[in-house]
Amino acid sequence: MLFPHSQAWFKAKNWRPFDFQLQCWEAVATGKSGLLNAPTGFGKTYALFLPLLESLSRQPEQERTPGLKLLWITPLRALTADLALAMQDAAAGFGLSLRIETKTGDTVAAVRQKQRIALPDVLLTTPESLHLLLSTPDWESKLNHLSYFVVDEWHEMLGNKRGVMLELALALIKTKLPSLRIWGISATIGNLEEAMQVLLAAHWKTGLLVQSKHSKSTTITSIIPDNFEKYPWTGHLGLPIVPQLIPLIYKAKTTLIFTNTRAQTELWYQRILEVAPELAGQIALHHGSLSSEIRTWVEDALHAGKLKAVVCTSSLDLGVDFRPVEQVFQIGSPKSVARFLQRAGRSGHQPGASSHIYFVPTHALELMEAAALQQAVAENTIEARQPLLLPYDVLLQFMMTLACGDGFEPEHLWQLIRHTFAFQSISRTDFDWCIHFLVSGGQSLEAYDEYQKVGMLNGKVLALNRKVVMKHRMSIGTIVSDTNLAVTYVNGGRIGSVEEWFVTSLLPGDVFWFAGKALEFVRIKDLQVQVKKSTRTDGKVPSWMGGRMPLSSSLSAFMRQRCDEAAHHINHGPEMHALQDLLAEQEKRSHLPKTNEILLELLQLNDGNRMLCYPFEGRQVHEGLSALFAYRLGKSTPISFSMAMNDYGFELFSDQAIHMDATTWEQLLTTDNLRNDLLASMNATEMARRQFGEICRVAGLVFHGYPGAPVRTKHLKASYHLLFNVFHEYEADNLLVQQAFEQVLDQQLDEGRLRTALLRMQKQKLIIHQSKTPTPFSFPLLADRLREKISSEQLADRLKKMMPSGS
Amino acid sequence: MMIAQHSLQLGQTSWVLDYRKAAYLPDHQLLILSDVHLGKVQHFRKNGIAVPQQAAQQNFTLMQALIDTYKPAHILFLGDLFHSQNNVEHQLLAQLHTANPNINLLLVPGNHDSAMLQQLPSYLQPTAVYHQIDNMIFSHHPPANLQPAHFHCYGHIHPAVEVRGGARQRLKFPSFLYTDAALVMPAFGNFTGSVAANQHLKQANKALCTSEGLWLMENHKFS
Repeated sequence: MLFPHSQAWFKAKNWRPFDFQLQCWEAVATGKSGLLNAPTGFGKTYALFLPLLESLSRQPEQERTPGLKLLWITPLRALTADLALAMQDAAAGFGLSLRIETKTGDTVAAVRQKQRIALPDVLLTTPESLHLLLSTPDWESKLNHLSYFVVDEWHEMLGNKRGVMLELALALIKTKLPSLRIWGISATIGNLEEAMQVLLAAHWKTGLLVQSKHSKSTTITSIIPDNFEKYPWTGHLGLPIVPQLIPLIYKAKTTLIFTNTRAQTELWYQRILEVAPELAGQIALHHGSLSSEIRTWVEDALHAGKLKAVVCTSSLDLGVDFRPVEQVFQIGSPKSVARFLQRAGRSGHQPGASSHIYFVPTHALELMEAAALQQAVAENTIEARQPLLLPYDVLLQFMMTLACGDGFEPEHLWQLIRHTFAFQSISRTDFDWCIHFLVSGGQSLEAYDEYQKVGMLNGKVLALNRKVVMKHRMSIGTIVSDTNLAVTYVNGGRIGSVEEWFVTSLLPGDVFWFAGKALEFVRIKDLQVQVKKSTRTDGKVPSWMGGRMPLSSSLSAFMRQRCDEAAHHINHGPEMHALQDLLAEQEKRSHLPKTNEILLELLQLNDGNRMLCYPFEGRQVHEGLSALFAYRLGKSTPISFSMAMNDYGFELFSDQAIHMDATTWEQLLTTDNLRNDLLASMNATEMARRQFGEICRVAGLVFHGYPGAPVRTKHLKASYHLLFNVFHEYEADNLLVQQAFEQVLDQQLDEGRLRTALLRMQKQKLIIHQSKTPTPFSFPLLADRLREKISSEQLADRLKKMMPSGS
Repeated sequence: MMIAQHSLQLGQTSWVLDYRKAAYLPDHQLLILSDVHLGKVQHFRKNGIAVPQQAAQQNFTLMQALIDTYKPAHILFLGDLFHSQNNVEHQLLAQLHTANPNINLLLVPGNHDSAMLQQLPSYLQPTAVYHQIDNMIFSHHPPANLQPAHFHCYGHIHPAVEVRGGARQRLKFPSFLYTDAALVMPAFGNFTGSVAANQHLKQANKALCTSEGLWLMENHKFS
C-alpha cells in the first residue's frame, strides 16, 4: 500500500478513499501543486490534509521539526473552526500530537500571544490574517518549514481583490520556498484551468487539475403559482406565493430559503409567520447585517436540527454543512447557474445524497428564467469567474504591508509581481508611479511638503514609524462595507447593524423591522442606534445597498432560446406551459422575438414617449446599453431621458418624441468609439466616485480610526467623495482614479459583454412595434420606479426642470 | 439662469454674493470668506494620506482672483481658517499677505482655529467671538438665538443644497442660505465637505454655488 497510514485510518473509519483523494495523495507526495475540483460532502479536506499526516507518520518523532508546515486559507472565518476540529480528529486518529490552530479576527488573545512566539504545525486562516503575518519583520523565519499551502473555496476569491491578495502573498512566499506545494480547492466553475493558472502563476504548467468523477445529483422543481392568471407580471418580492410553500416546509426536516436581499429576508420572515403563526420559534432569519451572536445561534440551531426553516441571503451560501437541511428554496432569480447550484448544494449533504432545490418565481416572466436554469444545469453550463487585472489599490496595500515588516527593494518587488497573474502586464512606469505615490505622496520633491509614510533605507522601502505601522495593520484587507451603525437595545444587547443612510431617515418613535422584530428607534448615541421593542406591526424595512447581481451571459443565452422556442410555439416543461397565455398575449399585442430578431416597442402613452428594447442580456448590460443609446440619441438634439431596466430589457422614456428607423438603429449599435461614448454617456464620473470608496479604503487613503478613540482622528476625516473630487481635479494621472473608471467599465458595465451584445444585435433583424397600450414584456419596466436619468442638456436647464419653482 | 454675482439688500446693508463662495460688502469694502480649513491637505499628508497639494494652492489662487475683482480693504475670515496645527501650508496665507500688504486680515475664531490662536501671525488680527459692524453680527457658530435688532452672518455648518429630480437624480451644491435675519456662508475651502442643509434656516432663500455660476432659489419674499 502506498499510503499505509492514511489507508489504515480510512479503514478504521469504515471509509474507502475516492478516486480524487488517491490522486491528490499521490500528487502531493511527489511534490506537485494543483487544483482540486470535487463536490461538497466527499472529503475534499482529507484529500489535501492527509498527505501531511502521512509524511509526519513516517518520520521518527524525534526528527520532526517544530514550526508551521501547512497553511490552510479559507475565505470565511466561520469555516476555520470546524475544519480545525476535523483535522484535529484526523491527527489524533494517526496518533500524532500536532498543534492545529486558527488565526482570525476571532482568535482569543492568549492563543494569539502563543502564536506570536511560535506558530502551530497547521494554521487555518484568512487572506487578511496572512497579510498581517507578512507585515511582521520575522515572517520569513516563521515560515521556514512551510511545505503545504492550501486555498480552500478558491473560486470564491478568484474574481475579487482577496484573490489578488493571495496571488501577491504567494508570489512573495515562493521566492523563499521554491518547492512549496500549492493547492487550490474549487467548486465547479467554467474556467477551472484558468483558476489553477492564477493560483500557481508561473508554475501552472506543471500543475495538476484533479477532478472528481463523482457529482451530486440535483433535482430542480419550479413552483408554479396556483393562481397563475392572477400572478403579478412584475415585482420582486414574491410574497403572494408564500401560502403555497408552507406545506413544502412541513414536508422536509429543514429548509433553507434563499432570497437575494437582506430586506427581502425580513419581509419573507414576517409573511411566513403571518401565514403560519404556528411556525414561530421554528423558523429563523440569517443575513450579513445581523450580529454574529444571532448568526451563531441560528447556525447552531440549524446543526442541531431545531429549525424547520431559515430565511437567508448569500450569508449562508458558503460555510459548514448543515446536515438536517433537506431542501432549498430560491426566491427569485439566482442570476447565475453557479450560484443556483451552490445554493442547491446546501441540501443533501451526505455523500450520495442528492440536492433538492425549488425555484420560486417572484413574477410571471421569471418562470422563463427557471426554464433556462433547468437547461443550463442539465447541460452543466457553469459560468467562469474572471480574475482581476491590475488592481493598483491592492498593490499599494501590499507594498505598505511589506514596508511595515522587513521592507522591500523596489527592483525585487518588480520582478516578483510581474509573475503574478493580476500584474503580469503592469508597466514599469505604473509600477514606479505606485512606489512614488507611497514614498513621496505623488508629488514632486521640490515642493514644500510634510508627507510622511514610508522612507528609503539602504535601498529598502520601510515604514517611517510605529504609528504608521499600527494604522496600516488595522486596515489590511479589501472587504469594504458602507458606514454601518450598530443596532442595540437601550438597555444593552447588540442586534446587528444598519447602514447610516437608513438611520438618517428615521425619527425617534419610528418603527422598523429588523432581525424579524419590530423595533422602535429611540436615539443615536456613541455611533449606536438605540432601539426598544415595539408592538406595532407597521414599520419600515431597512434596505442595504448591496451590489446587484448581474444575470450571467450563459443564463441570458438560454433565456433567448426559450423565447425563440415560444415564438415557434414549442413550449417544453411546466414553466413554459404555465407561461403560454402570457406569451400569447405578448405575441398578440406586439411580437415574440426569435433568436435572429431584436424587438423594439415604441409606446406612446399619456405621460410621454417610450422606447423599449429586449436583448435579454441582464440588468448590468442593459444599464450600459440604455445609457449609451440615450447618449447617442441626444448627440444631435438636446434631450433628457429617464431609463428603467431589468434582466430582460430596458426602457428609454422622454417627454419628447423618439424617432427610430433602421438607419438610426444602426448608428446606435456601432462599436466605434464605444469606450468614449460609454464613459461620456453613463454618469461615469459619478459611478467612478462610488467605486473610489472601496479603492480609497484598500489603498489606505481613508482611515477609520483607532478602536475606541474616534475623537483623535476627527481632523483626518474626509469622505471618499471629497477625496475623489480633489484627486480627479488635481491629479489626473493618478492610477487609483483611473482604476475607478476601469472598474466602472469592466465590472459595473462589463464593457466586453456589452460589445458582444452590440455585435449580436447588429446581426439581428430589427422588429419595430408601435403601440398605444402596454405589452406583457413592457409592463415590469413601466412599473419600475428606480430609474436612471441621462441628459445632454446644460446644467442650468437640468436644474430648471428639477426645480420648477426656482427663478 | 446662472449669474456670477447676486446683489441684494440684507439687514439694511448692500451685499454681493459671489459664486466663488465669498460675500462682499461694498459699503465696508469687506470681503467675507468662511471655513477655509487652511492646512488640511498637509495635515492629511502628514498622516500618510497623499491628497494632492494643488487643492490647497487652488484656494489661494481663487482668493487672489476675488481680491482682484473686489479690491477689498478688509478680508474677514469667518472662522475655521486653520484646520489643525501649524504646518507648511500656512505659508500660503503669508504669501497672500505679502502680495496684498494693504489689506487688513481679520479672523473671527472658529472651533478648528483653537490650536492656532496662541500663535497667530502678526498680520492676522483676531476679533471677538461675536464681531459687530453696525447692526451686523459676524460669528463662526450659529448664534443660540437670532436677535431681532441684528443681522447675523455665520459659517461653520458648510451648508449645501441637495436638489432631487425624478429618476433618482441628485445634485448637491455648496450654498448660501439667507433670510432677512441671517446669512449662512458656504465653506470656502475646496478640500472641505458640505452638508445638505435644506432645512437649516426656516424658509431661507438659497444661492447655489455651481461651477457655472450662482443658481438662485428665492421662494420667499422678505417680510
